[in-house]
Amino acid sequence: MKTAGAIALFSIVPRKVLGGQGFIAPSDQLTKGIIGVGSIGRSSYHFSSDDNCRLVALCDVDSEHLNSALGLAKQRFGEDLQGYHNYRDLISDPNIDIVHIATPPHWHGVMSIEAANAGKDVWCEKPMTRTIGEGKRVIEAMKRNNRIFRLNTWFRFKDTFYGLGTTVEPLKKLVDSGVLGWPLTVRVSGATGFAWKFFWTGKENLTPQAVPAQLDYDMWLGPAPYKPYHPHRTHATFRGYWDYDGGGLGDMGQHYLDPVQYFLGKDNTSPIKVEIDAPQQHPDAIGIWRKITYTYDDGCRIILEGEGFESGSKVPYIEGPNGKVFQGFEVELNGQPAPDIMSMIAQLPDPEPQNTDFIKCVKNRERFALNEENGHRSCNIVNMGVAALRLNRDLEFDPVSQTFVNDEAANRLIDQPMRGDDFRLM
Amino acid sequence: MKRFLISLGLLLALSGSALAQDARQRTPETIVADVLAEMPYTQKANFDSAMSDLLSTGSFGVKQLAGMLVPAEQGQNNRVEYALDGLVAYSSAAADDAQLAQVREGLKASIASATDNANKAFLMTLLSRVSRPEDAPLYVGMLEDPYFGEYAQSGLILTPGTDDVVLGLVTEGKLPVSMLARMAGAKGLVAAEPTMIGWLKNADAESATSIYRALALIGTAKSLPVLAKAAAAEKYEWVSTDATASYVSLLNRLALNPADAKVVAKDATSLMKKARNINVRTGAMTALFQAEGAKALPVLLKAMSDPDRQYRMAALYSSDCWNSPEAVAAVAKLATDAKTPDIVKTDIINWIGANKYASEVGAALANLDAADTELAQAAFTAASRIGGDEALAAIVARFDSYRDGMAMNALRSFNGDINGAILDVLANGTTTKARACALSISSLRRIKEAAPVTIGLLNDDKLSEQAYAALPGVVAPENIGILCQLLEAAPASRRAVIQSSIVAALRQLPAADQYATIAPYVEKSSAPELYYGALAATSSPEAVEALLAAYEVPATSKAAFDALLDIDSPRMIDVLYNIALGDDKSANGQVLKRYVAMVDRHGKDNIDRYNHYRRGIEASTNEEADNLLINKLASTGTYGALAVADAKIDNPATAAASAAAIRAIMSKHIGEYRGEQARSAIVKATDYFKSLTNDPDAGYAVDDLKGILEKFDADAATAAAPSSKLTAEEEAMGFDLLFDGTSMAKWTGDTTTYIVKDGCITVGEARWGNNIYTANEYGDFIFRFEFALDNPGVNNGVGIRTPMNVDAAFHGMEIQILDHDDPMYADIQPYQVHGSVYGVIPAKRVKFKHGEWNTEEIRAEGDHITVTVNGKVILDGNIREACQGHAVGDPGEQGNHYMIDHRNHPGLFNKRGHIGFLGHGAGIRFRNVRVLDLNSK
Repeated sequence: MKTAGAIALFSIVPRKVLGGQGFIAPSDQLTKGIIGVGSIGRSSYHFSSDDNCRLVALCDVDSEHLNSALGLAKQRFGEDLQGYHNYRDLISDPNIDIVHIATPPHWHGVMSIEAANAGKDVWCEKPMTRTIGEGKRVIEAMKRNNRIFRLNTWFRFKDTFYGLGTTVEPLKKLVDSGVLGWPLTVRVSGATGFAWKFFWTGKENLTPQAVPAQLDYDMWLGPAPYKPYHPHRTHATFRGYWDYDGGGLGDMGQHYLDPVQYFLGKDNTSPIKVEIDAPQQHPDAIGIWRKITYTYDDGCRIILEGEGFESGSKVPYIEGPNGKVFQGFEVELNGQPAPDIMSMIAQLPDPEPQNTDFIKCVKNRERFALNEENGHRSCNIVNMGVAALRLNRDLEFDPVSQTFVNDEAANRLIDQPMRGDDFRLM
Repeated sequence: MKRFLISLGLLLALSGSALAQDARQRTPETIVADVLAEMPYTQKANFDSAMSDLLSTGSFGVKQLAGMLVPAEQGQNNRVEYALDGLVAYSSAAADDAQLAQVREGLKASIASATDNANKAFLMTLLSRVSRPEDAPLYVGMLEDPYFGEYAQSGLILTPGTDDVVLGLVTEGKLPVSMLARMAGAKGLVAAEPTMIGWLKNADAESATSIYRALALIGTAKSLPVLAKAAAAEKYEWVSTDATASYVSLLNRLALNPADAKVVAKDATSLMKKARNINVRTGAMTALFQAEGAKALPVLLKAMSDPDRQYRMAALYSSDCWNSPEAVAAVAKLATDAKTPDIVKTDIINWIGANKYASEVGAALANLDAADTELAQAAFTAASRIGGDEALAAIVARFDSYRDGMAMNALRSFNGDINGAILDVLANGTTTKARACALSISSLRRIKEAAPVTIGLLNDDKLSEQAYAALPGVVAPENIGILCQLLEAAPASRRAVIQSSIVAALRQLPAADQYATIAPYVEKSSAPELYYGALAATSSPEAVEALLAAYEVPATSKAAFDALLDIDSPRMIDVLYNIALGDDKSANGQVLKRYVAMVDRHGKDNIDRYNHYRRGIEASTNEEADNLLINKLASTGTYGALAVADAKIDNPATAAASAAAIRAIMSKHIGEYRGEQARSAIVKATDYFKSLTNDPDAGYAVDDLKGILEKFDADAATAAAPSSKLTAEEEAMGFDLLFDGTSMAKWTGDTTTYIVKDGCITVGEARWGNNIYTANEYGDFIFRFEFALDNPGVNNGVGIRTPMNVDAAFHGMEIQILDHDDPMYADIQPYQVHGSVYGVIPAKRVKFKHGEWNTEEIRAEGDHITVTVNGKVILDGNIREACQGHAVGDPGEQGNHYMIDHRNHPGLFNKRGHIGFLGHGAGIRFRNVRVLDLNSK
């Protein structure tokens, strides 16, 4: 693959030209461009444009996706946005402040780093990176370029957290108060309100097909190894292949586990062990798993129960020596129900304030609540699980060096070479 | 007793050793075939055991498997891929060097002979996961291949100990520069630096980019001038040649190395001045701060007057690596300097707060009264994060200012205990406003000590409103008496808040004490309905009875009804159900919603919950309640729930919930719920989702349901198993029905792997060696059975005249059962095909159709064996003649040249033994199994 030239499909319209009466002064208004407008990138949460941050450019390697998203933008915002085929053209567009990465995960590391090198702030979809090594490099790039990075999942700071029935905040207070005792076991399971999406499984025995004219498959693959094209590998079903993502664990893992890292106070560390109970995995197509257990050095554990392999209905979401928290925030302390728990929690100080307004963070240059460092740590949990599943064995992990212990084959999954000469994590 | 123990021990030892011999007894071909037939393993123990067997075949197994890979258009490779990948994964941890060398040899030979690109690339990927330096030549030879080059490069990069090889290639310089640079960078080859710098002289843009990037990763200080020059040529912009980014990256990497500090500082300082892009300027500054440490404080201080916020904040955060209190103090001083602009102060305070620099809390406190909102907010947040008495007093003092909102907010997450300070304001506060704030915080934080003051303020001229608002938050059980007094006397407008206060106080008591605490006040009261809410909150049986009685009295009915809906008790399930059934349907939906909540909470088990939900549907006249109940029914997964959904899907108001319920239930119960109703429900649900043309997620549901229907139909096709019965003729002849479709009573051995399902004996996941045997032994016999081969390549066998737990093929006889037309068996010997006396007499090939039933008869009379499949004799032979009477070879002979498979079959001439099914994996069914013992005639 050749180094990208700066060939845009459309001419660049400076953002001040697009302003008009009633607009915020361009200097106060941030701008963003979205890379990957297949599904998530086109969903309303992301495909937005307002006074605080205007959407000015879109990029996709599938011209049908791109044209359809440009059409949507015209319809929704009444504007002709800049369209790009090559992400490097979007990243180097001087009219863009924020690069929003909504591609499959095998691109996240490369694009985040290049965007940072180009001086852009980054909004990146989960899971943060496809390998542990890529995450480490993203941290370095953000640091030396002094960039603001947001990993996009949000339960550590807002919204009802699935089976919990509340936000994570009261849980964080309860855990921090110590009344549940220590260490804690967290059970992320259908039985506690967290369903794993196992429809993200890949297909075996794919027969190669002709690449559709609208898709630049070579660019879609990018840093991923070349495999003959089949539509199931791409677009809405890519999560089922190890080359690009991690199946149901890749899709929902960081969503469910980042808040766990947060309330356990593990934002600067990782588990020291991952144990799996799963069928043998195919080398290309991702399958299901029954149970994945992570253990931290202090004995805290996270147990993931796969769909159809959940414990019975009344298992605690969190269990400590002195207390349990069930679905719907039902709490038991020392074996007794504690219906008045919210009142007890009200007596506790709120958790430290978090910076949850990304646009404000970009303007004020403050770190976002879920950034490259804690985001990388919660993504490690996903990637540790992926490594164990692919090798069909339990693994030990050193959270400081971020390598597997005494398992050279597992460590070969940490820094996976990228295809061709054009992608480098530096 | 002792004798028994010994003999048991001996037996165990014998069977153990016999099993241990099995893997060796099987040929490598058989091991490979067995593993393949069993792919993929769902259980780790089986996986490990199979991979260990496969590993024992050395490079043979790998080559054999790799040889079975076909171009994807021509067949299915998945099982071979599972097997090879599994073997590589397993050996990467479990194999010793010699075993791993065999696996690698097998992979290398297979790569050499592979002809299909994708398959060859797959094999190269496998090798790259376990390769050793000795494998480097294979990669080196393919580096420039248009298809395999990337795989070869990745393999070389991943293989430890190949630094010299790559360095050799770099020195040689024959390969494309960009490729060499990439590999050198990825492998961290510092020794390649001079060569790569040398290449830059004649490099085109693309090669130069690769070199820059590699130097960023591995370069020493010697690369700095090179990258500096290249970055200057790019005017320090981010362009595709990547020199600037590489330069900044190298500076930051070298900055960590004290030996390079000087040169990095010099370069970084210069770059900060020359660069225009903010990330490049700050990137240089980050490197400078790292290299120089707090010596760079003047730069930091100067940065504070930079107009660009990005620059200021980058400077502040880049200085964190210093851990220098002096530097922090020097910066903090700027935040109290009147000359410093507010926005800069804001940045500094935000930074102090984020890092919790406690020694500089004063700088934050000095800005609490700033007119600039952003600055004031930063000051409050920082003070709250840092905490401490001084900060607490300062924040609390702002209750009296126009920043009272910020102050209250800051206290919510204040780092430390705030109660004392709040109580102090409450008791001694001089202004109404401050005391109002204290009341609000007391309530928010449930400060019980504030209750007396709060109650005292209820009639205060100025603070009455605030005191009432705070009341529920501060009360404790000891306040219940006075609260009840207040309630009796309160005007209607204050009743609700006092009632909630009573409830809040009651809830702090143990559940068992709550009713007894409130009951006396209710009894004393002339207006007991004032206490219905409190009674309900106790959720006690007594409260339920009292409220039900009140519900019957028209005057108190409405109040009692509202209270009943608040009770949390298993008793309420029936109470609410009866109310829902009653004539008054006005609150039907509300009642059933609460009913569902109570069933969710207090239902004993799934069936109990099902019964209640089901009953709820009958009592419902409300569509919203119907939908809720259908959702809940779905969660029980029962057949009854499916039937309800099937009925309710026809009504548009409940179609959505019903369709979702059908999908959820049938996705988990195929093979269990059968019949026309289940099928029609699936079809109806599919049609429903198809009708949702505007919902993008409906497509998933349709696909999902289509898959469910396929499985349902496949299950239905195989489910119709007639219960086995002897024919009249067999009965007359004296046949014994060994399996009647239900009972395994006449069998012994591994009855956990062989299970009865749908009238058949089926095999769950099994490894080689999971066998079942007839309880009786037989010498001469006619053994009849039916079998269906479901999984492609499935392998089993009928052991005859065999002891238990040995390899029947050698220690008895094995009449092969095999889906021998599967491509993976293309190379098997004639004496391995279905029906053969394994290794002794070949059978004629039969054609099988997957999933269809076949009949088989094995007749053993003395040395004469006949095998008849689907009415056709496929083997008719004499075992003694087949080997000229030599079950084992001549004395001293390795093997047995008389036998067609050249192996010893010491059990071939056994007079009698068990008949057994010899498991090699799932995907086969047996039925109608019967035997006629010819010796008993």
